[in-house]
Amino acid sequence: MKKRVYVLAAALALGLGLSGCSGGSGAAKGATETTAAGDLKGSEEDSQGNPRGFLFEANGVVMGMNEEVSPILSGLGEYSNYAETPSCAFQGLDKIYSYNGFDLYTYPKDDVDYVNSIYFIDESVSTPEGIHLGSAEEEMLAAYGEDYVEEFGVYTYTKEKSTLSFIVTDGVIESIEYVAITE
Amino acid sequence: MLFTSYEFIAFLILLFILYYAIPARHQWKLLLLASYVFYFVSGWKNGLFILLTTVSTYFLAKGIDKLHREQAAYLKEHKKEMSKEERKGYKAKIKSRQWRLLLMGLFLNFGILAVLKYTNFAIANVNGLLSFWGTEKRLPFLNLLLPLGISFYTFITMGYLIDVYRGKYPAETCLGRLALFVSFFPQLIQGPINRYDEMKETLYTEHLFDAREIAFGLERVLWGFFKKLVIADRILTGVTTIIKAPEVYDGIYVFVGMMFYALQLYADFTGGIDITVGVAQVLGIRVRENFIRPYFSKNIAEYWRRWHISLGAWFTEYIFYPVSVCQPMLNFSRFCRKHFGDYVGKRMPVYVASLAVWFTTGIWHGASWNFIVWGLLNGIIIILSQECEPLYARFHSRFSVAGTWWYSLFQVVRTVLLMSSLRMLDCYRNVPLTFRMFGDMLLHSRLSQLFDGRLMSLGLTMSDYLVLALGTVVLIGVSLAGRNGSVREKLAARPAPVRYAVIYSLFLCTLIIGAYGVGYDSSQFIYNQF
Amino acid sequence: MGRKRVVLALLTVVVIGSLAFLNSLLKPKYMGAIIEGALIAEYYEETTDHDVIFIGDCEVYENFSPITLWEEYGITSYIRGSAQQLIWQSYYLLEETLKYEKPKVVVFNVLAMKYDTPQKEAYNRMTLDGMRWSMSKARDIRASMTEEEQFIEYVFPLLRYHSRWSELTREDWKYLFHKDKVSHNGYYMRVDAKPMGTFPKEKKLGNYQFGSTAYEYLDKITNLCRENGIQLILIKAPSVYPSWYDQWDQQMEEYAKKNQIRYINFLNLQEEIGLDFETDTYDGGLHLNLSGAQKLSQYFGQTLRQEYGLSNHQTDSKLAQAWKPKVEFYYQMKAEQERDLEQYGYIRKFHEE
Repeated sequence: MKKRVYVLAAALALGLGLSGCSGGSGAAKGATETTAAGDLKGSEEDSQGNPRGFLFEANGVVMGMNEEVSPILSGLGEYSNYAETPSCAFQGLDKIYSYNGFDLYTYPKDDVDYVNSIYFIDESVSTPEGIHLGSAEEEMLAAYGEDYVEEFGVYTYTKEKSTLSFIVTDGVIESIEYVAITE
Repeated sequence: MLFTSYEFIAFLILLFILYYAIPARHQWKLLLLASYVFYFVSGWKNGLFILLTTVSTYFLAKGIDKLHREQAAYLKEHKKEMSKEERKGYKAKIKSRQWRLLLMGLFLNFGILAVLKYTNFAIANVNGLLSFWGTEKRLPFLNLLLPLGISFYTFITMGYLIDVYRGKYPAETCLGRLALFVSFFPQLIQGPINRYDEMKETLYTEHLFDAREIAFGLERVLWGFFKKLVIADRILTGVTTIIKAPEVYDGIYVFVGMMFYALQLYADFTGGIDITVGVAQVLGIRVRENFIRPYFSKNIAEYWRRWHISLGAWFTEYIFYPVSVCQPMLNFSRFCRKHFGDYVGKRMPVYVASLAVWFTTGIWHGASWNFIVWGLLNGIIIILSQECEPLYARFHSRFSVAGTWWYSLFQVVRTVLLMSSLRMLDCYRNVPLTFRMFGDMLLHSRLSQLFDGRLMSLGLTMSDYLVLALGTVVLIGVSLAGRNGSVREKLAARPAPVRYAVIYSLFLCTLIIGAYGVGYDSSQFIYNQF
Repeated sequence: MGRKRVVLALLTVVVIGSLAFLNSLLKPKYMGAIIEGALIAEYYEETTDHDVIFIGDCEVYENFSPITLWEEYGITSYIRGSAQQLIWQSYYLLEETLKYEKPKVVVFNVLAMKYDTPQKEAYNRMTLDGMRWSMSKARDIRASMTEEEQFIEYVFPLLRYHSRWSELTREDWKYLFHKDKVSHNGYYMRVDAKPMGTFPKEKKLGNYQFGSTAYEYLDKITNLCRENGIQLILIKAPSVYPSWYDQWDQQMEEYAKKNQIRYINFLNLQEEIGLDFETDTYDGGLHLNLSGAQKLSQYFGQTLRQEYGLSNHQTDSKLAQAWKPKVEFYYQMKAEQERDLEQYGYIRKFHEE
């Protein structure tokens, strides 16, 4: 019997020893994933554990693309204009809420509205990284880096399920828009 | 080309027609061509790797084989004049030359596999250590391509090379034939890991049109599609939703996810192998079985003899045996015997060898600590249950439960649960999280959680659950029916209308309720990734 | 041997029959609140030819009323349009239409120029599934497919729609073998009204140049019409939203000039047409309602008669006979919608539950 205990102990020690060292390195695996997905600094995860992508903040409400609209609307308070645009041949409406400085576009999915895009209309609002209409191209590059796709003066950054686009004319930012990536 | 893509079906139909239209002696050449088309479609760079492995293995095996023959001829010729010592010396010289060739092959091919598959894992670990020491330095990850099925074809070719080295059979003399053995498309991407001596007859011989074999093959393919499309791909959403949001899906949902994954993996992997075996059979080729109703196993050791059989066999043949009889192990055994007695001395090498096997099995499945821990835990549990065998025996004889149907059922359920628990390591992001979720499942599961609405938020609708429930019943039913003989044989014995009705229903079910097409992510077979 | 053959034949019949049945059962019917998917197929029921063929998206099939053109001017016309109909889809539909008849005038709405690549599977389906099989359809599918789509799923729609098995409704059974008529020569009728509101600020674009594929197909449409001696009119319907940028307008002006075709931007002609966006739109300015469509058709009919010399066919007995039931159906639907509107405040068919 005693011998059997030896063997058991040895097997356990060996096994646990090996699995014990996994704890720390398991975290290293997590690190792999986030590094591969890009720098996630500044972005939290949503309730489903998905990273939120580019965020916009107004009236103390932080919003990301593809997020449910209703809590955002109640947080933002009264809007200055509301328009709805039925898509051809589809139930449900795309809705557009205008607030001071930006328009909030939504899309419906299974009777719930989600954020589709945020479009800046004047200089009174800026991204959390400090870029607003009229900012210089260098400021944008300093804030968001070189990992963009540029086409016809539109600089598009992609993060998770969102893009952030800047239209730059003569070194000045003329348009800023967050857009949801939907499948 | 996924097995469940339209392209693959079209490819098969075309191949099938050509295969039986051309002279039978050319069939294997057509298969080789088809396999390379199949493989190169996945990316021409992939093709270069498999070519490299094939060609290097071909020449090395030939070299080894030539030495075998040289040695035999030399010894025969000089039988009279050589002393025993001389003969031994000569043999050793040849052996070492062969050994060098073998090592070249092993280093090259396992080297490719290791570099492509494990470099980033190694870098992650180094980075983990760097951060542990508090330095800011990090190694950058490499963007490496992992050729399709590399884990499988590397094992297939290395098994072949080792067998030739061991003199089990002569090397293949025709490069084309060897290339077909390595690249035979049905088995290329997810096994089974075939062996050359088993395949050489069936692969290169002439196959005549045999309606019964073809019908059986097609039935098997259809059954595979049913498992994959109706069950595995449908439940996929549920599994990913649960494991991606462990904070949301805790308590009993960990259990739900665990069981869902057990079902998904089974349906996915065995379904894929059904397609493999079925397609081969349609072409008149017999491929070895990779599963024998694994979820009916009564303990883990048995489970591993019935699940992914060809992988287990490979590890036993090429790792377990060599490790247990290698010189250091014999020394270790002697050491143990001297210090701990005969019992330990006998067992210890076996256990160390089997832990080595389990470690490799783990890391073969994926470059992460999750898989390593998973592999080792499998090994440990098997060792423990072997050690506890006398206790079991005493318990069984005392309560005379062995052999009763309910005790068998208990053992089966226990094994399924145990295997499914271990497999959680395959699901969650990292090892600590897995253990935390496992604990949460044990401590905080309440049945009432099933009715708190979360069940309907998994991306599965009521009709999905219904399909899954019925599908599971069908799976179990077919498995039960298969215990005493082939289900297809039994079906074939039935009157034609019954037979046709059954097959056509299966076809319609797959066609209509299969989770494929727009709206479903076309998902890879899980084992394609290894 | 004889028996074996009978069995084989029987099996084939059962297999093909059941698959065909499942196919028509599972295909969407577009007979409820969403009828846009049924528009394209209705064309094949036509028995007489047309002077004018409209091609384009909702900006044609919701804004022009062929019945008004007939009643007011005796002009025969048909709208071959569907939801978000992309320019190559309009081209191939025109190509197909020319196999059946040779109109005098083709009207194309240029909003579709803004799309240079395939957009949305659901819209593709609405346009393409209704088409009869021809090389035009095959080429249309090839041009329209998004990445997730497969050609074979158009050949066997069951492969696409099989997943509807769990969402079948009574509509699917009711319209298994026949469909109701939903359009008036391709026109989608709405009598309700919703005044136009304020639309959000126009989004700036980085590039206002229409894509090369869009131009390629516009050229094809132009050439096809030229080869067949058909007069092409490019129009921009008076829908206020989505935005029609000045830069876009300019490109169309230039294109029309270069190719010596007519381009009419109805956005600039609202007053002449007499459009009142308080009463003439059913969705706040995106599309016209019946009243708006009638006004626009009335206006456009004049152009067609005066500048394109289209004559009045009302005295042609064969045509008059063909159009009589059309007109009846038109007023019957109008009356029904108005009754609904009065009784419920909305049109039941298009009302979301």
